[in-house]
Amino acid sequence: MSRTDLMRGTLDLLILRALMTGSNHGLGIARRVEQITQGAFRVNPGSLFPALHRLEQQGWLTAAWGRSETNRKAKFYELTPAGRGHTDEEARNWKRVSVAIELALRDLGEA
Amino acid sequence: MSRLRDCTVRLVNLFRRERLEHELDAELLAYLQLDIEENIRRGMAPREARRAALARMGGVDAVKEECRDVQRFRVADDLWRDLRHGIRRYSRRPILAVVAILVLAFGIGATVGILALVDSLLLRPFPAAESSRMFVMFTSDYSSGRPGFNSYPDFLDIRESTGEVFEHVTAASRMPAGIRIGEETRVMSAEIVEPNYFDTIGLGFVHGRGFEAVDDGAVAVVSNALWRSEFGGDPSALGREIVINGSPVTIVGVAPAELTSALGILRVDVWLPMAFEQLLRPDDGRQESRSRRGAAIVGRLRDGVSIDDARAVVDIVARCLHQSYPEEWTSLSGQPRDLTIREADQARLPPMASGPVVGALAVLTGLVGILLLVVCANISGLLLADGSVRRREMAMRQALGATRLRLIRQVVVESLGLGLVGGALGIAVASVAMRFVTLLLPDLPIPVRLDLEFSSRLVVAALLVSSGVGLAVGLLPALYATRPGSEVGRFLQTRFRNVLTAMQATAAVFLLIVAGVFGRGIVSAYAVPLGYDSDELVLVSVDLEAAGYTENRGRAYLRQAMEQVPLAEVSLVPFLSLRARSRWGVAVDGYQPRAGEDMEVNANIVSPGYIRLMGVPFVRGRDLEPGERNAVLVNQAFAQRFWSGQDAVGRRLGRPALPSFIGQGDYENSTDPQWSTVVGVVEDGHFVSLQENAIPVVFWSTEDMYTPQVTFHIRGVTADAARRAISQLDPGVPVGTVATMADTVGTALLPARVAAVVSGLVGGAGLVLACIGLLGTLSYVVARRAPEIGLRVALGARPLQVIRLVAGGTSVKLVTAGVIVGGGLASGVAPVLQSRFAGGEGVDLVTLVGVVVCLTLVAFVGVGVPAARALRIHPAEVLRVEE
Repeated sequence: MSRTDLMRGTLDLLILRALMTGSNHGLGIARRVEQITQGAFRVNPGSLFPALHRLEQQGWLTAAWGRSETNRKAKFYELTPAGRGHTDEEARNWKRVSVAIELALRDLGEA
Repeated sequence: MSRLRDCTVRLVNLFRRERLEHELDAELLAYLQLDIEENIRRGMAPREARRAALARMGGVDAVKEECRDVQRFRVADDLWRDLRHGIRRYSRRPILAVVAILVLAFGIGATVGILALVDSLLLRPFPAAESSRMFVMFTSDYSSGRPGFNSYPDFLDIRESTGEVFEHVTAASRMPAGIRIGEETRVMSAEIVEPNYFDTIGLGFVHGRGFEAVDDGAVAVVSNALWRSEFGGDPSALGREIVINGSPVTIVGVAPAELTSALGILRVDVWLPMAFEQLLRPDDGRQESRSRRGAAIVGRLRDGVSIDDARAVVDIVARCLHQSYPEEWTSLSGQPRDLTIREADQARLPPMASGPVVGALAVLTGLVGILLLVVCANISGLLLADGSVRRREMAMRQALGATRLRLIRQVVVESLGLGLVGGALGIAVASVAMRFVTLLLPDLPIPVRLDLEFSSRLVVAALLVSSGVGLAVGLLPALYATRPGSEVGRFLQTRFRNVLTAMQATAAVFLLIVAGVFGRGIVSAYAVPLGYDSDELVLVSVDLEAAGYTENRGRAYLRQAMEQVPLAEVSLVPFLSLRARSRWGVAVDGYQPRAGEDMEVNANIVSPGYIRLMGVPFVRGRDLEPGERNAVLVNQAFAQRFWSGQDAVGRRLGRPALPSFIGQGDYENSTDPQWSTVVGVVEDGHFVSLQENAIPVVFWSTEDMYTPQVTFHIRGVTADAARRAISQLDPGVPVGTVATMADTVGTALLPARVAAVVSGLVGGAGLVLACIGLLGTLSYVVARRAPEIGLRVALGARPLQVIRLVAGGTSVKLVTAGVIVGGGLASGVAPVLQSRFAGGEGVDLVTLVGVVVCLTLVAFVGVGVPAARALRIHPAEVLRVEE
């Protein structure tokens, strides 16, 4: 599987997942997404920041200025309680869909 | 929920643009720096690390743009930017901007002013709580069949029998009142109402209470305006005593400010109970007679009852009344009389007044509508010319990737901005103009209350007009500017601009001719022979009812006046003949009216000697004699209408009942009519208004009919001497207006004068606009052909040839077309306007020539300025620009 352009819904879910383990800044989130997808998805700033702002506006994230491990000033994003609930729900939805797609495509693309 | 939240945040973000932009910059910068650090940690050289990070970021601006998209509404953002761009553009072209805004302000201001007038006269809801349930009711007139006022006994019967559909039914009639507060007595406007009147209206009181059945009649409710002006808004006014028509009454209530007359837009100073009338005129019999109709019926429908349900009931009531009182409820043409019921919100003017008012408003609205069209055409033309200048800008932006829609939006946003600024200025202009209109009102013969104020509805209307105009004038120039080379673009640039210019010329000619017609009408009105001698005639009005006189005392007073006033001659008429059109029904012996024929004629009550005093010649017969009963005079037109010009002397006319106060009366059709015999026929004159063409008029005699509202006509003295002589007769009689006949003629001309001023202003504005339009068009031609003109000059073209090049052909054709079409339209419309508002016949040569001269002058300026500019073109300069 090559590096895929992320569909919007997928990206949102991946960002939320990346933040489940604690708050992080933009670059950190991008790296975490790469990590947890084992490098399958690379997020560039052009889609990362709009997605972060959108999620913030929808109330799933909060943002605050803080210091990075190298003591740089950066904006840190954190999941809100509502955001956690939303992430769980989206994860369940996604699994249901992916199982269904899996079933539908079972005997294709093997060769 | 999150969708809604997103939307709100975006809206809020629109107003924190700067902070957001700043944060975004900081965030992206932090990202970049963290990335560079990371790259260095991985072992890259600093320069290499920076390059790689930048490459990963992509275009910073593109990222920002994406984020802005999320944060805010992009459209709103863009609109804001378009607007700022527009403001910058127009601040570099101040003349264009100022001209456009002023022109728009004028057009929109005039429109809003007329809308305010229409709103306050016709569209305001009836002043009552839950006004949608209020209704008004009219009885058809005996002689004319038109809806009119109602008699008091009929009102009682109607109220008795309609309890099922009406929650309240109440009645009000007007009474001129001499009100004494402290020392001074003044004639004011009073309304006599039923005790349940205020409950029916349901607006409550500022202080005190309304009338109760137990009140003995000596009580009054004062209007809010009177309370403020006479009692300084002091609550202790309650319980104070004032004297009305000689009878003391106690103030028991102060009405809320919004309460006006039940009879439309008339002003009311004080409300009195029905019992007051009996107190004042115990033997008058007015409240028992079904023929004396001065009461307006107002009421409230029961909840859930529609006006149609009520109408069905009211029709049955009218039929019952006809059966019970066949005499009074059969009209002069033999048909049963009927009752009309209307929703009060839809009948703000009583039916007898609404015709002329609506007509005048329609004419004004038409004129202003034409003006607004001219304004649109004008600004559209200016922007079109401006658009040709900005083609370069547009082409460049298109080349840089702007879509056509985006560019069109830019132009439309600009014109919308112009429209709104012009509109705001226009509203300011309109509110000043309204104050001016309100100042004109004290001259009106009836006490009108006109609240010209800006309701929120009016502001919305003004906004709609402004933005509508803004869009209308911007759209075509936008289409053109963004695609100048296309078929549409060429069409807009040539044909359409010509059409716009011709249209403006047409409208200017039309408006000017209409203005001229009004103006000439007024001038000729002063020259028209009145049919009587108006020189040195002083008119003094008194109201004997306001002095508390009974009929017997009033008659004695009048006899005394005729004998004692040491002046050349004294005559009296009720209502100043030239001011109020009094139309009363008349029965003509031996004349069978056609079904539905209007048997109301203009009438006056005059003393013996009046006709002689006025200098009107007799055609047949003689004047009335002092002491002679049952004699009457008519004019030639009357004799012509009813007796086909045969000898009128000796014929008989049935007398009407006393007129009610508004000037509407009705024939008292008792079983034994009172007949008068015609003793003389007088020449037709202008007895009612200066516009009339020989209207039938009948002159009843003061020996037969009594009226407490009297105007003395006195010749050969000054106004002051006349006033002194009259007030010496009895200082208790309040002297109303004192005016010379010349003043009165001026008042009679007021509607025409206002119309002339308005249409003159509108016409003048149209002319200026036409000039601007022509100037704009030709200036554009000069600007575009500057290189060609320069080349021609360089090759030896003479000035005259250059001028012909600029001004030739098209502009002459356009102006000519405008004169012909506009002149044609105006000569079609002018006679209609003249018959209603002014004298004169058709479009006269002077007006026509004047207009053509005006327009030629305008064309000269419009052509001359650009031509002069063309002459100044220096070949070397333009050729250098051309390269």
